[in-house]
Amino acid sequence: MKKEKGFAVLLKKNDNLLEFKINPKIYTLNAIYKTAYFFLDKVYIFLDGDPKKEIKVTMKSKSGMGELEKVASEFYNELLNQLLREKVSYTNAKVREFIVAKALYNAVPNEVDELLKEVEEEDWQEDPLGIAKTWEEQQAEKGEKSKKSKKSRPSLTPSLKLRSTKKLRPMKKKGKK
Amino acid sequence: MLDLNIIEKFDWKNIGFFRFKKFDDKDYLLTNEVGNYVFLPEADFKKFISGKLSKKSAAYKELQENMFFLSNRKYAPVLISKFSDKYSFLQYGPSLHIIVVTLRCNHKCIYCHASAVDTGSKEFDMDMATAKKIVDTIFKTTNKSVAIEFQGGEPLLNWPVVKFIIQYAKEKNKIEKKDLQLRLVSNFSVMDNEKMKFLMDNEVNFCTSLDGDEETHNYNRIYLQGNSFQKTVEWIKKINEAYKKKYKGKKRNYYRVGALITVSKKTLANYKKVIDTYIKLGFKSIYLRYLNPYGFALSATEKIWYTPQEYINFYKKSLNYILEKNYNGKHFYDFGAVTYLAKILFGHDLNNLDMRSPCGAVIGQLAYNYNGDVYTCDEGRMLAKMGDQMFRLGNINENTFEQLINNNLCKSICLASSTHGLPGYNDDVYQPYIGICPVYNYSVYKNIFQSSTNNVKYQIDKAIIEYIFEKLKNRKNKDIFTEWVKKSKPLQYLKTYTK
Repeated sequence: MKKEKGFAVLLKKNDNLLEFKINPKIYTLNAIYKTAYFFLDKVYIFLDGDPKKEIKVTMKSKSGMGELEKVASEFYNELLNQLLREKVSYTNAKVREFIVAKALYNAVPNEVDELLKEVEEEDWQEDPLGIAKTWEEQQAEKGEKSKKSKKSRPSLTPSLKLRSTKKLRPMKKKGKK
Repeated sequence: MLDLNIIEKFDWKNIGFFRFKKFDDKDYLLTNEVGNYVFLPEADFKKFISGKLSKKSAAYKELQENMFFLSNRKYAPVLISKFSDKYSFLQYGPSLHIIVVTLRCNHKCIYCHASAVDTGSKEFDMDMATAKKIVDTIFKTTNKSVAIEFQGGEPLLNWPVVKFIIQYAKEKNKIEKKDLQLRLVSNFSVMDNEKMKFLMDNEVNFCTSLDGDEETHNYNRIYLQGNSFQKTVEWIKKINEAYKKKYKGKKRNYYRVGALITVSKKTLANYKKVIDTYIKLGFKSIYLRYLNPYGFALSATEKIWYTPQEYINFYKKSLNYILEKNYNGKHFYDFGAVTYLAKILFGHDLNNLDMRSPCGAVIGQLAYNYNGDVYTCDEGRMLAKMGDQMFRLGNINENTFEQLINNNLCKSICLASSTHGLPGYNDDVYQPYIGICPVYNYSVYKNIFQSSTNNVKYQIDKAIIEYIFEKLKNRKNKDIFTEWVKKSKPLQYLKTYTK
């Protein structure tokens, strides 16, 4: 039986089985899963145990004991590889997210800039829906409109207009000064 | 072999993200997010992990130059810029539009992926109304670059529709002002001077099927009305001559007929003759692709198929033979190798749609069948001809461009072919270079998500990349490989070149 820190392997020749007992405090669950996945095409894999105390990985050969003996010697190496990969991924997660987000945003600067430009160029100053106007202004205009019944030009991009107006001039509730 | 003590001392403050594998008895291979690579002897690898690598060592400098250290001030800006460049295709939308103007063909190739029908079956021809709607739809793409590729069957058998599409697309482009490229993939058997003139006048690029030397070509490509090889070669020479005349003294004199090879069992034994034929005919490259499991290729097992290991051995022998030619001063390369090398040496994706992540299905290409059915890609269309409509996006008469693109099939394919995040694929040291084909996965394994451990195509691609890395260890080879990528320009031509 091979014994490493937090790791033990037992080859049960009579039952054609290979059993690993792994300490999840040393080897993360993810590393154990990925290692098991690595051997999927060679053996049948069964996972059991307590994720806080001990993980039991049982492997059953698809083609005989020779295969199992080979896997037994490879499994620990791969577990260490996966553990290192886990550490590299974990410690770099934020930096990678930042790089990808920045790279993909930078890849479309024109579109974003064009959209922003479009928003800026919108005739939101005209405010056809009257959203940005104070209550007093609206009341004053109501009187005017009833006389002239003149309609405002409808917005071509109402959602954009609404967003930009909201952002630049916070709406005020009716009846509140 | 790694040990737990070293892993526990991992120098997380200085080391950026990387993937790795024990490459051979001597070295570890490390790659980073944008495809930079470094070979490290085992002792140096352990020192690197635990932060004990001397800053004065050559290994440290190499790692520093290739952006493996977070402590490098240029780390984030360089990676952002290279990542942005590598994945720039994500923002564009479909550029390659394959139009199957007819399923009729006068060849009976033993591997025919398109399951072509005989020349009398005119009901499998595209009509003008459908052709017009297809062109209208194509120009709705968000991509500024549009490549229309005629395929079949033998597209020249439906010449009026080919002619109409060319004229209509060019007319339409006067308003749309896209970077329009037109390509014809033909066996040239019904080519004549009038057609050639029209195609050249309209700047249509030519591509043909050439399976190598006469024996290999005619074994694969059966043509009852004559000698397929001789006919193809006759027109390759004629068109190249006409190109030379047309572009004499002009900057655009790089045009010449392109050729595609389908690697069958016969090719494996005749690889030297096949490569020699390509060189003799003036081609600068060959594309030694693994056979696709579609169409008649599935039923002609004995005649054409080989084991994955046989193919890998063939590829290695061929690459060595091609390198030998280069050692002797002949510039000639394998296009598949160049696709990988552009990513490995320059972090540049040539946009070979079959070999990128996510793959080019829908977001890079669309395939339009003779009856207006639209598919994710040409492979999806080939599968449909075998009776499985899994990759059909809709029909040109029933769906808008937006409906064809913005659907769950497109999203599923992107997910299934993005190696980032897929178990097994994500951790692979070759992740920055490799692509997955969901149509292949579905065709062979009945699942677009196939485990990396027993995905034959993936294992073959990995073996090829591994061999390229093996060759890269030699300085002379690296110089030749670098030249291949540099001279494979104009990239504009390669960018949407997939077939």
